[in-house]
Amino acid sequence: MIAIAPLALALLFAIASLLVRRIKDPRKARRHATFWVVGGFLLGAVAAAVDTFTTVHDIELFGTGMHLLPDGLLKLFPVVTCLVSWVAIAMSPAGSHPARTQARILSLLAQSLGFLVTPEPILIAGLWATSALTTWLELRQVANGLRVDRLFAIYHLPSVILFSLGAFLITRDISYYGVISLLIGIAIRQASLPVHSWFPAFVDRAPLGLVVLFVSPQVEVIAQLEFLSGGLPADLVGIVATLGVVTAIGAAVLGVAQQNARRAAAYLIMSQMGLVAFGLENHTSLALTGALLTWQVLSLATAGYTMALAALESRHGSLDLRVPHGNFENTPRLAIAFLILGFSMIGFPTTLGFVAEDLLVQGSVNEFPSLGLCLIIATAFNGLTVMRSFFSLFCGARRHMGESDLTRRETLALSLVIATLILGGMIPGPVVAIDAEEAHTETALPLPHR
Amino acid sequence: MIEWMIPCLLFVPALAVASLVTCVWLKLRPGESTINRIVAGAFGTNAVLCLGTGIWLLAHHRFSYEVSLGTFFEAEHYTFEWTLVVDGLSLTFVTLTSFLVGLIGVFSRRYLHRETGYLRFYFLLCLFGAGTTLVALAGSLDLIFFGWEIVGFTSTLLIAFFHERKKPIEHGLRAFITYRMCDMGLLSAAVWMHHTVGSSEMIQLGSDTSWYAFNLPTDLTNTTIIGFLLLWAAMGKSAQVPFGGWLPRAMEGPTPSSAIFYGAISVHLGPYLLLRASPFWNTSIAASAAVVSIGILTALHATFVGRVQTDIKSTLAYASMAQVGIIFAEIGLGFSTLALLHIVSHAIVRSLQILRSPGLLADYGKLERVMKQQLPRTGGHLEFLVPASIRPWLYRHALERGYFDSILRDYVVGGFLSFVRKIDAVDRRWAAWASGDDSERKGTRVKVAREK
Repeated sequence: MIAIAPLALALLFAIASLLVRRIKDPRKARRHATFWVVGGFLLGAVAAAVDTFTTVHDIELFGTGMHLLPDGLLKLFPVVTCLVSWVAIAMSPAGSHPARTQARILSLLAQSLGFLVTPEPILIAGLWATSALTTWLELRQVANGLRVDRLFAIYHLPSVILFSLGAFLITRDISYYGVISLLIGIAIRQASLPVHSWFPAFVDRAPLGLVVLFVSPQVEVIAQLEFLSGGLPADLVGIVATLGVVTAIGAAVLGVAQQNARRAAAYLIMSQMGLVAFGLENHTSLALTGALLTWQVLSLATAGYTMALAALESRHGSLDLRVPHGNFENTPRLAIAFLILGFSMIGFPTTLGFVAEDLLVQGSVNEFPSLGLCLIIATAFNGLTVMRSFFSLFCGARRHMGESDLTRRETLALSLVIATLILGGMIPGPVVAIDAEEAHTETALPLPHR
Repeated sequence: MIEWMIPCLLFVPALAVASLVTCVWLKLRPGESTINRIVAGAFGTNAVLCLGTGIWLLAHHRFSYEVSLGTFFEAEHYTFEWTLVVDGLSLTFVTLTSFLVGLIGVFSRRYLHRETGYLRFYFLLCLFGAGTTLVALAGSLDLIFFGWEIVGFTSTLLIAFFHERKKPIEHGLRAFITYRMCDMGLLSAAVWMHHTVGSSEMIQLGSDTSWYAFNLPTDLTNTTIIGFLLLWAAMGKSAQVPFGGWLPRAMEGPTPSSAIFYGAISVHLGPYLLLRASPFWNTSIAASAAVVSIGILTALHATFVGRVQTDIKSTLAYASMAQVGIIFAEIGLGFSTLALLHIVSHAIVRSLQILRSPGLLADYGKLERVMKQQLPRTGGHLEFLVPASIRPWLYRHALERGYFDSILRDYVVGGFLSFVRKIDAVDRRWAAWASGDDSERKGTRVKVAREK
């Protein structure tokens, strides 16, 4: 079965990427890219509405069975990813995001949507490789100190090889070794401890818009849902769950000790990705619901939080955390957005993150009591990282540097993300119901190709 | 009628919060009097609603009332319900909160006149009021956690209210660290309660006249574990030993917020939580002994340390700590009604003292100028009870704040951070080596050497 809407959107953004690349002026490129992404977001929303409220689901075309959108939770993925990209592009500073970078952001968006087109292992492995390649090509042109492209390649080349090998073995019914190979490939991309060292350097040096599109959609979760439905072989579950918790806590602790906001954000994201990885290995549909919701919250909140950092960096310069050196009098909206998005990520009440983490912890305690309680420690430390970053970046100086607050373009994009997270946190019922249904389906399925 | 009055206690402040946050986000600049009217009006309305609720309960010979606002979310067997409970304890707390927040709202109008953060202050005050109301009315530990976090968040931002100075920022962060570490106890207790009891909802355990309380697990071990977790949470919020160092520092915030947070409401949320968990203290001797010990230790520590403070707000902060310590001991010993009376009277007196403190200093200054000499020292009567030989030792101990701060700073936090930074340095060095970047590698080494 092929999903038409993601295919059409992926093609649209691939074309958009080629067109934007031809523009020389970064501001003009950003305007065009924003136009394409907003269009894609609206199309994705219309497709989701048609799929939900009408009977147009499955279509027969050229003798092939097609459907408008994938079933269940993944139905929302195109809209969420387009919103993430909207934030990434609308808030990308022209200085650090030339037209080339924006074209690559659109290209990564197209590839992320490609993951939904069909659950063919070879196609997914191919997209896994091309997205890493696109990012690597961009990193080659980033020349600020550390050769981050080399570091990226050292980690992602094995990731691509192992993931492709895993996908291939699974199609050949050699599922146990295939799953192991696949999991290592995913662990590298997810920056799980101890194969994480590329990630802080990547977030520290790469253009943040690119970081958002490479990290926020978390295509590794889609890969896991597509390939490993029904859970892992019993002997691997404990290992993967433990690795998830170790990453969540380890990264949270390392985040507190960082002296630069980009690296602190990297560890914050790593820690949250560890929570998702842990939740996905639970056999209870409650924990899985929490993990899926955390994934969605993380996508949106990471995009907003990271791009708020990018906006601040372009206005203020240093993102040093050692001493408080900011003044939010001139940038109240940016400060508020930063705080709300950071706290959404760590599961603060009144945001959707709270619901997600509550479900995750409550669900996992029955299966892994001690590991489940460890998640609480990770969340507590992540809160410290967010508050410390806020105080250091937005408070502590007597005078502001004349920096301007969010522009209308930036405000609109961030408002949408914040509104989604807060409204979702106030009325979480519908979203939780979709996630719970998906989790129920996943836990009921046997492991395919085993 | 009561069916809508109780939810309104929550919705009215929530509406005020929503209107203020809209103003902040849309950069609307309402006048000071408008802001003041919104906040004072909301909590004035709440005070009237509390009165109405109390009258209704008396008229209907009821001691408690429970209202369900529906299911927040549900998945599989887990349901998060919005249940509000009004009984003697919650009604007293909500009435006190509404009255004091309204009063502080009116008082601050002049105190913060033309202050750049006027709207921010009122927004945070209103959010705090809403959070406290939620904690007091919550029918489950899950909902208490919801409000508890909001209170901690607002407290942190109000300590750092004067954000242009570094000290308030540092002190705000310190308070937040304490809150965050201790809130782990509350969340763990909620999760463990679900795991052992099946729900964290409160029930009326004794007769119709008793307060609602958390349901007990069937075995003593789990009762003790949950009891200790709840105590841990209460210790952070109420600045009990050894976590009390943040409280005097929290006085960096504006005086009105110090009065309501650290004199009246926020600092008493720990005892409130303990009162809701009173069956745990009646069942587990270990847990109740811990509550009493922590309380007595804090009362003694704060009494000694408070006596050597040189500024009025720090003295009042330690006085608050001492009283809350005594309240802890009362709860541990099972004197719940006495503890509630103590909370109410202490909250009113202490907030009045803190609000009066700037004026009092000015008055004393005036008096000294008129008398042309320093006012005589007061409160020395306790010193005669202490043998002269141990006075210097005690004085040093009090000056060093019982060494709790230095132990936490040098050995706990410092040691932990140093260990984590070493791991981080190894990671960075590996990343630099793998990327073939010599300058970065050397740079990292230099940084590591400097950090050492």
